[in-house]
Amino acid sequence: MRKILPWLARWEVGLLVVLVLEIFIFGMVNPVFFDLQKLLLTMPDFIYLGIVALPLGMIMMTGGIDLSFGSVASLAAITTGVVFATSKSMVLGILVGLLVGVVCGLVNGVLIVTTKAQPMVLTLGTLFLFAGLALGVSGIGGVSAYEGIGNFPDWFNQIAYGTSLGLPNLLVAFVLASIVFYLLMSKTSFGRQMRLIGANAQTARYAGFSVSRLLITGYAVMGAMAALVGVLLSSYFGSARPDIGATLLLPVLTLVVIGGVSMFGGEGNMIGIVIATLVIGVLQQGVRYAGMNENEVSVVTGSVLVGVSILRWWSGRWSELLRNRRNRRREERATSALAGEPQAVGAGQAEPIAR
Amino acid sequence: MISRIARHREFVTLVGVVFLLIVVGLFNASFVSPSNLARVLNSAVILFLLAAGEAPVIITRNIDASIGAILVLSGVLGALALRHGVAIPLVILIVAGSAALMGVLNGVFVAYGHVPPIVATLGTLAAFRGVSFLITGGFSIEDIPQNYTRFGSAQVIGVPLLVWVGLALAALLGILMAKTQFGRHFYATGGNPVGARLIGIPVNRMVVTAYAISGLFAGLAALVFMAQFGSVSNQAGVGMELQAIAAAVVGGVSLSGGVGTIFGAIIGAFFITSARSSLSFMGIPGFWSDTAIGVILLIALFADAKVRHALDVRRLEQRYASSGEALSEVGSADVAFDKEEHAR
Repeated sequence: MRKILPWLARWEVGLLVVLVLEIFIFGMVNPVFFDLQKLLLTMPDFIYLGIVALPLGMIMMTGGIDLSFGSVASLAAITTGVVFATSKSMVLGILVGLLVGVVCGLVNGVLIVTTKAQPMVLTLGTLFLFAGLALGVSGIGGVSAYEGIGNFPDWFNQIAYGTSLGLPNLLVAFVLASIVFYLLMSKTSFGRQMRLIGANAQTARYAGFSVSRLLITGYAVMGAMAALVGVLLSSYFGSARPDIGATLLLPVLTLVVIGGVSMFGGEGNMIGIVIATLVIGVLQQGVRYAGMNENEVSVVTGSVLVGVSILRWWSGRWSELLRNRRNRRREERATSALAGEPQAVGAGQAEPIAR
Repeated sequence: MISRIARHREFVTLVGVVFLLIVVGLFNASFVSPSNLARVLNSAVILFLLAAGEAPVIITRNIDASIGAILVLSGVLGALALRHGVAIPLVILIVAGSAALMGVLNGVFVAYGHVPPIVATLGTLAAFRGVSFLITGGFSIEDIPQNYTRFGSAQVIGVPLLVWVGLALAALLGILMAKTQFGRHFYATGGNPVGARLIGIPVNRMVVTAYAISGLFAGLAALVFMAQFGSVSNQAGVGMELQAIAAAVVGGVSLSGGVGTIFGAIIGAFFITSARSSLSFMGIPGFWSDTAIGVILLIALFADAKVRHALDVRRLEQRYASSGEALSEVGSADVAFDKEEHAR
């Protein structure tokens, strides 16, 4: 029992309960929701958010943040499109697009490490910079910002639309990315060191590994994943637009926070982000299936996001209060049992509170 | 002398604005003609109101990403009220009041709900925009009555009336922040929240107030918007929140809290607006304007980092120079060590 209780009090388990409740409630409203096949097929509508949320979670665990990933996705998408339109080679386009993403990430990382400016301000600057460059590239390529570049080869559109092993490709990509990032963050020294940077940057420096190089690598990975999502979205929509990533920021950021990653670094894990992706995606789909239009959906999801974030802090506080009370009771029991032996009181003291 | 100027970051930005005007003016003299400068001022009003409102929030070490949405929602309410023939003073009250209330909502989420500020305000951004869509059904509200829009074209001494009004309101806020005890409490809250609490400042209430001010100024920006454009569309103010934050940062308001002035935020807004409008005078296509903002923001950050570093080194040197006389050799050895430490 004592083993199970703290496990139940974990945030990820709470999220899982919310997910099950959601599916149950929306299923009552609209039975379509209990149809697993249909549920799986609608997942690409939101699952791409998770693909970029995973690396963002990694960055936030280091105590940093990257606000520019939406612009990086746009820039990568439009670059892919323009290179395809001029060279007629899709493969070259994708490669250049991904490369652009890595370069953007490197720019972020190097600037953050060298200027020691706050990542939030700095990536706010590059948010404008990359979004502007995306518009610039489309301007140079002579594309209208609204239509974008289309007429991609069939196999490219199939990347995001097709299925493999009966699962939508985007879902497969998300599962693969989740596994990779889970292993990276919890089983490799890279992941542990990234986490240490977020928990205590000073200690990390004294621990003798190169904090700068790790951070730059992290931001480069972030850029690469953002570019990947930009390319996948172009495939999904069948056109590469310079504003394709503009709406990514809000859902992805809230997703990471709801997934249990602290804005101050050091806290959180990938499983939380994976569950949070499903929680938010199912919520959006469920509200849509319940017959609401897009604006009502955004009102509902916005409110729920804020509500869940409030729960996130207060639930942590409540579980801490509960733990304190239990410890105090145990201490009292110990002192009353040891009455008459004042030297031994210290043995019954409350254990340090783990956050 | 230099350190004195450097300590007042807003003057550095002011020098930047003047420099920009001169450079673009040399390139194309019509840019610095009085009529064009008045036009630039006119198009800067909305941004500098938003930036001035954003500053208290950033100074308390938070951020408000919802001001563009507050602008739209309060503007939609105001435009509907005007079209239903509500008296203008009452409309102003409705817009300002509803906007301030939305700000309070943000503040409560952040201060009492403990939601990270950027998440809370991005969430309310989606919610407020959604509500304004629901009210308008996705259509923009046109035909705001003439008796209101005439304020948008009125001029006093060659400068639009709204610029004067906006500057006066921002100046009021600036005085409140700089000269009153209440205003200084915002700085204490952002500079050191725990310390501020210990000396008896109601930290949570200060945060809520800062958000209320930010909301109020977004409402004022909505009033200007209605007068200038004569309509409110659902796309109004998209991306303005990020520009306002950028303007405040360019003007020397630090995102780590406790540093910056309203004046600086306003100058930052002027810098960004004039840089944007200078593009067309330099023959650069308009789609580069976001790139320009990004570059300006990054340059400001770079300059900021360099200036701060230089100031730190200098302060350390001065401190050691004065204590070195008393401590003689021990002190100078310390200085050398500390300099080395600092250089890394």
